[in-house]
Amino acid sequence: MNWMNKKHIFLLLILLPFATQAQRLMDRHGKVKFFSEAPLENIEADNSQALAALDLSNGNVAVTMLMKSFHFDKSLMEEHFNENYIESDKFPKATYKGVLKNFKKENLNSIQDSLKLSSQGELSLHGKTNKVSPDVVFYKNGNKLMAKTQFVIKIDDYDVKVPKMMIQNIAEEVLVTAIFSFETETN
Amino acid sequence: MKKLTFTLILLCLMAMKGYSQDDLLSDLEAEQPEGPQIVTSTFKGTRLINGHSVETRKEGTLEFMISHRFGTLNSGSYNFWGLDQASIRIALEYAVFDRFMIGVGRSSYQKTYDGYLKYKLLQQQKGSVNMPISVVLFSSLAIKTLKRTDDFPVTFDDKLASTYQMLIARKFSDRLSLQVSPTFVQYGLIEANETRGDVLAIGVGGRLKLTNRLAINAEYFPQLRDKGDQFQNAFAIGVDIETGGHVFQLQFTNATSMIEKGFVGESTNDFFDGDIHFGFNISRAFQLK
Repeated sequence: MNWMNKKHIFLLLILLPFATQAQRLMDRHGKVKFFSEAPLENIEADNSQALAALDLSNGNVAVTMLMKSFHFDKSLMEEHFNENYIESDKFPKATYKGVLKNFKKENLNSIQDSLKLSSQGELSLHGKTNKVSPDVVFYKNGNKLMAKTQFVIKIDDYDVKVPKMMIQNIAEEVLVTAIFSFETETN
Repeated sequence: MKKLTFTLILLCLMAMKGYSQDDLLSDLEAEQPEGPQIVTSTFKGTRLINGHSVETRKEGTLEFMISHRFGTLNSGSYNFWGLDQASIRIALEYAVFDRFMIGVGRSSYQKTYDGYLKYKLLQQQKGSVNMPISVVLFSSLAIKTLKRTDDFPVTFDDKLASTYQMLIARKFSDRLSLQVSPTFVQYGLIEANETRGDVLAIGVGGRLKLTNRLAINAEYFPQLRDKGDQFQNAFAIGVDIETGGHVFQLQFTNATSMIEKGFVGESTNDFFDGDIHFGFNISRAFQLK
């Protein structure tokens, strides 16, 4: 191996990590909302500051959000959510780390209507981590690649305790919806 | 040459590590902006027990509040240890903005109407902004409408009392919050001995949270004046119980009145003599916008 070849390999090695980084799509203003229906009242909150990343080289996905960024219509409900149920001071974040099954970058580029992929990963919330497998639907919106997911979580799985007298007010299952929008360079 | 090669490989490896696939989540978390974090829920209610806490409600919240004090525990079995008697205040309190509240109330004690303004000047914060305390400015005006049975000449001004407070509090931990409340009350007349006077008191109080929904509170308002034998400093100890849209406060106190001008300067009962009122505050919040 002569010196020139070595030089090329070095350059390649140095540039490789940057190339991998370019394979990543990111959304800093992801929208996550949850909804639950209980006999006495519906509970609904929105977070529009979730962070999400998708690695195009291998289909890895990651999502993180601050619990205090969830906003409710009823301010007292928001206070109780942070103070009594989710304990945001102790557990400030919710995260998802997973991988999209049968992921191919080319398939994303050639989306006509939409593309549904299932993912498998771990959802961490309120200090507890559980395996979940939400489906993700990808579709195009202008230059943007959109990713939408919807799944149900049981609050009991995340050790969120509801006092007996509040059972009428709080549902045991919560529907979570998330929409992420990624800028793409392809178009 | 070998040295250079080694350095370059090392650099490459370091760079690779930084972008390793497994760390997608930790890379993402590093991107999370570190903003100021507001320290919320220093106390559960807008009252510590008798006096106001540094809490204000969020914009558009209307609170309907009922405060109630029974008679004294040492009034004997004939009065069912105080439960036969009642002093009550009903009030509507509204958060005009996140940091600004107004309220109107009517107390059965001396048939008094009151109105107050409450503004949060400083909010305790941590993170990128460090603010160690919350400070609230409070003022209220009360008018006594109880008719006199004697013909002592009383002007309109004599029936008024105004209160000015600066509430300073800090949430030291998830469990412990403490508050200091310098209070100045200007009276038309002080009912019991009918001498004109103003009262300066330095209230102190705190809460100790036992569980997420249960806390113990205590509050004391020592007066900085020669109050004689007749008047006592207001002392109260109680618990906060939180259930959904309600905060339920139960307390023992020597004060009969539930507004500043009443409990700070007009309390005549001695807590340690057994002149203790059992009482409660209940509030129900409605979100108007």
